[in-house]
Amino acid sequence: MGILKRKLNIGRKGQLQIQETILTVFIFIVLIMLGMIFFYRVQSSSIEGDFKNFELDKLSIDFITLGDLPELSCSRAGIKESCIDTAKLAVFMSSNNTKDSRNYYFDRFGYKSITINQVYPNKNSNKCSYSRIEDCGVWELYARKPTGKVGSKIIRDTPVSLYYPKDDSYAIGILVVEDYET
Amino acid sequence: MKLRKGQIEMIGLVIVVVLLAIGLLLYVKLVVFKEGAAKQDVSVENAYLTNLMGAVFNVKICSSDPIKVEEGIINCFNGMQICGEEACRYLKDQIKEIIGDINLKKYKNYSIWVTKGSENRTIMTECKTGVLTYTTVVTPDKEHYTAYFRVC
Repeated sequence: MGILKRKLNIGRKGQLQIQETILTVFIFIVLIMLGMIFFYRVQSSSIEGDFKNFELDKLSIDFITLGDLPELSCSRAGIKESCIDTAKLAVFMSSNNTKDSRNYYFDRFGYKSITINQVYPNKNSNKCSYSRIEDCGVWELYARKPTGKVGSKIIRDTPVSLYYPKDDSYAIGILVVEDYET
Repeated sequence: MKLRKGQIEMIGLVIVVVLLAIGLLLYVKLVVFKEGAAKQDVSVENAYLTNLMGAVFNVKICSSDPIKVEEGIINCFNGMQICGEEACRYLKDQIKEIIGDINLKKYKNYSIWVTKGSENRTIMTECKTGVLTYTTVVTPDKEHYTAYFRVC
């Protein structure tokens, strides 16, 4: 009787120890999982931040170098000047209708809208085109919006000098770049 | 029910651990996940200002005898006239009018001056500090002038 009682006691003690071990392992696994979730969130937030900075830097580079594109910038006797040639703008807009051209500029700019609004000597809301260079003030150079839901957009603008070769005059426009986040 | 000394110590320990955990969470929230302040992109700011300067300097003034603003700046340095008026004063009025027409919300005050060697001539002095840019103007007779443009 005494031996059986002692054996039963040992059995209960063993069961308690197993339960304790299971509980310890369970808590340990929960802690590890919490740590992993925390690490993943910190990492993904950091990568997201880096990607946003990269996108902003890319936009800045595109934005700064836009006026220097040979397709747009004006030159005199082969020497580049700090202005945008409106005759080139008209040609750029008309040539942007072909599929190859659209693909080329999509690779270059991505999902963006690029517009120039003339503000000096006069403002004019009429849209310019290949056939209409005079009596207009809005140059819609490029527009490619993402299909579906647009996350957010970053807008940058800068004054630019517009050159009219026909009467050798200069105007001032505001170049607006809208960058769509997909 | 009377608590034993050991139980009271355990409760104290739990409170300390909970407080430490809350402190750690706050630290993580405020320091690790801190939203970075909007990065002021200096290159974009400078590009903006250089473009503004280039756009203003290219405009032609004086309809009777059209002349670019940058050429007018050289005339101002040399004490010449534009449209029958003293060049510096005429330029100052014209530049104010141009910038007023552009109606930029970003900057309200401007300073423009031109130097050649150690000599300098001021056209506008609305800013003592601010973002500065400049351009070198070369005349047909190979004279080099530096025109400065500051906004604030």
